[in-house]
Amino acid sequence: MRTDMKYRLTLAAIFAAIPLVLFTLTLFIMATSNIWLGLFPVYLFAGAFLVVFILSFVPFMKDHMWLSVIAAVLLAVLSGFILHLVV
Amino acid sequence: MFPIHVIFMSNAGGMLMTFGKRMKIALIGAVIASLAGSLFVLLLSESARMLTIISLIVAVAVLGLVLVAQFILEGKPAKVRVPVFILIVVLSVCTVLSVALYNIGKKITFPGTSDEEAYEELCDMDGVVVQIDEGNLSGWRIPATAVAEGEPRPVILYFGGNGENSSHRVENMLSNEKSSYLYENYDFFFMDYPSYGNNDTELTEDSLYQFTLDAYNYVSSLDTTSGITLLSYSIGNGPAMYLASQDDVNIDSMIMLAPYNSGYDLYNANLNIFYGPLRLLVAFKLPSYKYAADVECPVTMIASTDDEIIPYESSRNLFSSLSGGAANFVTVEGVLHNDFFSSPEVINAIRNSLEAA
Repeated sequence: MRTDMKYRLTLAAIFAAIPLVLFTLTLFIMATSNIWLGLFPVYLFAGAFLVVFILSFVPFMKDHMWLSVIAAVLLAVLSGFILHLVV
Repeated sequence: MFPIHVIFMSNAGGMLMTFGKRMKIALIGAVIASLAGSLFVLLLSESARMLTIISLIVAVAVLGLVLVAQFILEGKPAKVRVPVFILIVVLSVCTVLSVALYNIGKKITFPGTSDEEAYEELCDMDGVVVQIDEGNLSGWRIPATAVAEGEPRPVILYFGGNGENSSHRVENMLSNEKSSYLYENYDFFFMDYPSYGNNDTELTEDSLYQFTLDAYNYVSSLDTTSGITLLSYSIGNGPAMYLASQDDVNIDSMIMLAPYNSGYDLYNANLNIFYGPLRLLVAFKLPSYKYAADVECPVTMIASTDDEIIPYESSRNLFSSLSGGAANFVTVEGVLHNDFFSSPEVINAIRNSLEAA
């Protein structure tokens, strides 16, 4: 078993993310009467995946991948805010 | 599993970033970003905020539990560690989903509606505001049109469906002549449930029952009230049945539209899983079948075989639980749940029941 703290934290974070992911999906799908709106977390996932993946090919960004993750998080939060204002 | 220091390993050290690594980082980034965006929306939404906070607390607790478990299980074989981690995740998932189901069910059962537009329309009428220990209860009274002011008259005390509020229903009744029979010889009272209309009291099953007693006490205390008939529709049948079953309550008759046996039936009509221990997740149990045995006044139940919200069988089961006074079960066909008040068959059945009362 790996004993370094980073590994332990990563493992714990992955486990902690499972109920959160299920919760957000359940709540979005059940609480919104519109199925397309209920899939909002899925759109965010697909969008963020594309953003981070495409940015990994940009010369500067591929050396600083955490920047592209932060950019994706900011874009997702911004999208969420727009959704909140629109709906 | 991929450690974070590998995930965020840069290319600066001369190591080329492989396609697989790009995919891994993009996946992790996408999970983080979509969770952040979605949780942000849920935190902004007033109705989902508490649930989201609970879910975040559960996630932090899982994080802590997994960390602690790793230290405790250090050196133990994988066949011990893996089941413990799986157990932690399964328990946390069950907790979060249970909390979500409980709260969503609560919100769907009693969404707490209000109608400002209808309220403004009714501003010329005198509203009803009753002082209770927890605050105010508000609603509307439509005075009987065929009875002189100040003369005694019977009263219809109405318990509405979960999507109704008093302003909307009363405004709708006044603008629709089809409903005038309900306030011709009767005063029509519709008090809003807690958290509905202008009522800001908290809605729980207990506060709902207390609300029925408060509404009854107010209506029965009026000098002009010569008798009380309960008219209930959909979710309102549970509270009405409770009220009619109480010893110190004097009800002339009950008319129940789309009644149900219990809250479990309502939940199961949407999601058929609430049996055994899962019944604990039902926020409003509303066991009408228990109260039905204590109801002594004449009861008329009107149920539709085509009701898509309240199963017809549930209404039949409730009817079979009655053991007191005269009871009449009217079956209508082809009437959807929201069409009860516009159905000529239902109107006729209500009229007949009112005349017999």
